Amino acid sequence: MTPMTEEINHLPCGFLTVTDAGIIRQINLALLDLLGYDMDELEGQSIRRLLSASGHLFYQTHFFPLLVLHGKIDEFCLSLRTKSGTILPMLINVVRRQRDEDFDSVYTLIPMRQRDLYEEEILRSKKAAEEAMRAREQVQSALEAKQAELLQLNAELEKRVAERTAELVEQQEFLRRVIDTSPHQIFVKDRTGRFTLANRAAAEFYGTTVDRMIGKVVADFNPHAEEVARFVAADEVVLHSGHDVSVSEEAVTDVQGQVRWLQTVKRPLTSSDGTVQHLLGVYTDITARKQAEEQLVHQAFHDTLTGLPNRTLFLDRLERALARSERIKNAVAVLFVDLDNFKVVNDSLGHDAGDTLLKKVTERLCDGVRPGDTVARFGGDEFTLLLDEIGGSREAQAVAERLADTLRAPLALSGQTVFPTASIGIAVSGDKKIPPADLLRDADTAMYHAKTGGKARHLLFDQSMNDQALERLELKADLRRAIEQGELRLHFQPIVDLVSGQIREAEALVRWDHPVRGMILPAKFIPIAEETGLIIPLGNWVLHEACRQVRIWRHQYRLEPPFVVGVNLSSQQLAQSGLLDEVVSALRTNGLPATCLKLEITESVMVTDMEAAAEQLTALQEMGVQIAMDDFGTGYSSMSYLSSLPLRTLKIDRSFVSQLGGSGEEQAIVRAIVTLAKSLGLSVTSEGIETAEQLAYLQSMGCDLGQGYYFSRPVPAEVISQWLAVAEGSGPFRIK
Amino acid sequence: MQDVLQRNNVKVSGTGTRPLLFAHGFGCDQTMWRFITPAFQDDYQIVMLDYVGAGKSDHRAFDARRYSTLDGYAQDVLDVCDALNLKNVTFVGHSVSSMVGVLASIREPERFERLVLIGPSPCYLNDLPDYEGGFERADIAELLDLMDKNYLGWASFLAPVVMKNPDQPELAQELKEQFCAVDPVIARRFAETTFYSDHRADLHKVSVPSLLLQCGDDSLAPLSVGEYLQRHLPGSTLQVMKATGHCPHLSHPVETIQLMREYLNGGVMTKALCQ
Repeated sequence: MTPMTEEINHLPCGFLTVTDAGIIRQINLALLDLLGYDMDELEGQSIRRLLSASGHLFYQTHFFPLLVLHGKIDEFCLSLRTKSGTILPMLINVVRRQRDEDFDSVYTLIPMRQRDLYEEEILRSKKAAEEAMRAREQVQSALEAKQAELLQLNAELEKRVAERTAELVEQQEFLRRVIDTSPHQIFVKDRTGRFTLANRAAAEFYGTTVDRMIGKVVADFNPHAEEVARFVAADEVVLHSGHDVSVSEEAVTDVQGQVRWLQTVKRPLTSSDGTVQHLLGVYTDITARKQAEEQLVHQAFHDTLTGLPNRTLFLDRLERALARSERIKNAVAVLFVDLDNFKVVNDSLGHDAGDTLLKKVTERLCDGVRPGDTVARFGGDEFTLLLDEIGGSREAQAVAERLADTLRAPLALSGQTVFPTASIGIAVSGDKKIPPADLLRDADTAMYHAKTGGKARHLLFDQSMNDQALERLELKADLRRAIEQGELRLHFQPIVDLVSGQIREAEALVRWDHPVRGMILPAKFIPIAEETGLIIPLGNWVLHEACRQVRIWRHQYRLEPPFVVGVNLSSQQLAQSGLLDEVVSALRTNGLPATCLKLEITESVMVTDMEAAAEQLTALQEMGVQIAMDDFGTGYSSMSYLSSLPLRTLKIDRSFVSQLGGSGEEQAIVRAIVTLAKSLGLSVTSEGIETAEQLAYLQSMGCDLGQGYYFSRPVPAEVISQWLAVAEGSGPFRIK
Repeated sequence: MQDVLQRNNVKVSGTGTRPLLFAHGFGCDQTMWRFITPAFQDDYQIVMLDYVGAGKSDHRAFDARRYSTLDGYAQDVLDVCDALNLKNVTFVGHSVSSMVGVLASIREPERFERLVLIGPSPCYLNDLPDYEGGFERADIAELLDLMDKNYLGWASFLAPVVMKNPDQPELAQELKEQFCAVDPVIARRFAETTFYSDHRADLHKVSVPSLLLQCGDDSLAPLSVGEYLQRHLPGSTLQVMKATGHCPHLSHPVETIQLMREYLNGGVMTKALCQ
């Protein structure tokens, strides 16, 4: 142990020498005092004795290497441990020096002064700064982690947003498709009337696109100011009242200029703040429905074939016209037009031809009236005309005449030429108020009279016609009974050989011995029989009864040449396939040769199924039955059929005969007919001879047979019998 | 790619071919080897490195995460070996570098021939009763506190020397070369990493023979720790030195050189035998 000098021993600071091996070589009293040790407790001991564990660790790891490498250490802090265990912070200066072979280090130590403590404070601040830095790093690290987490979260959010956006877009597109697929126009307008939404149907209505519609107003697309004004007014109501505005039928002009019928609903759209900033419009195109309705209405009031107003509409117009005429003191005329022989055309040429005829007649009727007049079809071949504000009956008749002329022009139908005629009844409203139905009935009545009066004519209604019409109705009801209960009678009009004066034939003419009305002439009930179809049993009855009477005469009297009975044949009978059987039956029943029967047909028969008629007539003729053409020279006077029918006789119509002795024209016609008949090898019978003069004319012309009041009116069979008895076997004979 | 040699301030010298790689311990840099390396200059290729944060390494390369375990430092060693393409390396590590060398040899055993471990300890903390590392956790906390207290003086340690010789820059440079230098902040981190580490479980994985130089009176590596290592480190040779303290290469370089030579030349135990 190296002795320490007194000076060192008493230095006011600590003094210490330590070997490199860490052994305390010297220590002064001041330090011993400070640490509480005795000299011999420390000398030769390890420096470790004075240091805490960490202090020694620091010594070994830091202090000593530095000391060796640097040779000295200035102002180092090192805490020493006192004997009692107290830790004393010391400020240390060390120098290492070589001593002999060895090294030792000389320490001076002083307790930490205020300055040092201050420095320690600075160190603490440093440390705090360091810790703050570390904390900051940790925070930074945590922040980075958090940021990474946030980034990931953000990415997830972005993904979700993207997904949600895609969903929304898809949803939006779906809704877009929904409203674009809707056949209804859907749109939204703001308060200024600008479209903020529109669907395809709305855009197409105005021939534009949805995109072009947005931001525009309806006036940009609809040039019709009146329609636009209507829309805007409705918009105003919706926006101000907050209520719906619905219009069940609204006419709107589309881009093509077509008027479309729309059912429109406008409804306020309430914003989140409760105010109405927009309106929703939904338009449904009901044009098709509307047209269908109109069509139905039209159909309900019009005839489908001709497009003319029907009975209902006609009556409606008639009612209005009458009401108006009452106010303005004017007359209204109704013309009831019934085509003549339409049924014949329909039956013989087919329904298509019938329809064509009706259409042609329609055209002609429409051409023949004034623009304001109404032409209606009542069904079948019946037309009615309403002549509004007409001067009087004379003017109405003039129209009827004009119509008849127009109608009469030849018309080609299925290869046949026809000359349409009509029976026209005219009724004119007078001073007295008359219900429309009554006026129409009157026209109908007048038409009936025109029809029964010989067709192809017009008649003005007069009150007497009503009585006749009434009578007809009663007769119609009585006729069947008449046939069944034997109220019919046959009268015969003799037909005389104009050369010999002998009765050669008799025409059977039916009479109705009505229990109340007495004897009724055929002109009154034959049309009724034809209308009702009773003409068939009636005709058969006449046929049989005539044959029966002839048989009686043949049995009672020797009649040479054989007596012939003439029986009128209606067109309905001729059209019936059973005719031949009936004729055969009638002849056989009465044991008569067919040559005793002469069937008289009229020219009108020929307009029907001429071929079928000719066939039946030929069969009859071949049996031996004679066929006569009655009323020759009236009606459809066509010479062409004369050669194609198996005729035996022409009967000159009484209208020609009654004129004989008058103008030369009538004589010429009669002469021509006789000459024609002779050239065809036909006999000629003259009807309606009333005077000797007429007889003379006819005799001079070479007419074969004659009948008429000059000889005898139609008489009961008994009268004929008496005459036959007187004349039997005798020469010429005259009935008078 | 960072230049590893620059990052770790690698210095290569010597005329031999067998690489002798020196890794410094805690609290200093490669200058601490300056009493040892001259002895091996002729026979070996001397390689010295500074860990990042020590000496003239690139302090900017300090990665707190990487160097929070000794594996990060072992990676420095392997990086240097790789950069210099070193093979059959004899690794010389002081103090904490002992464990750095152990870890490096586990990672790449084929690269190392022998390990010379000066003052080694696999764990500085006591794990009583089985293991006495020498320190409690509180001691380590105090050490860190002590380091903090000396922060200012320590940080300016080199500066006065250099500043005191402004007219002799060469001298200043030379002096600087001789002085140990560490970044105080990094050194503090290194201290934490070091003194809280526990690599006892890795020891059995070592396949490279090793020399354990154990000083007397070393609070960092008590004799019991040296004996523990000898028991658990395969192929290890424990040599208890006359030298005391923790830095025999500084305090007792002659003895240190002598024991290293004996081991390196004598080949007390070959690698093959070790395995």
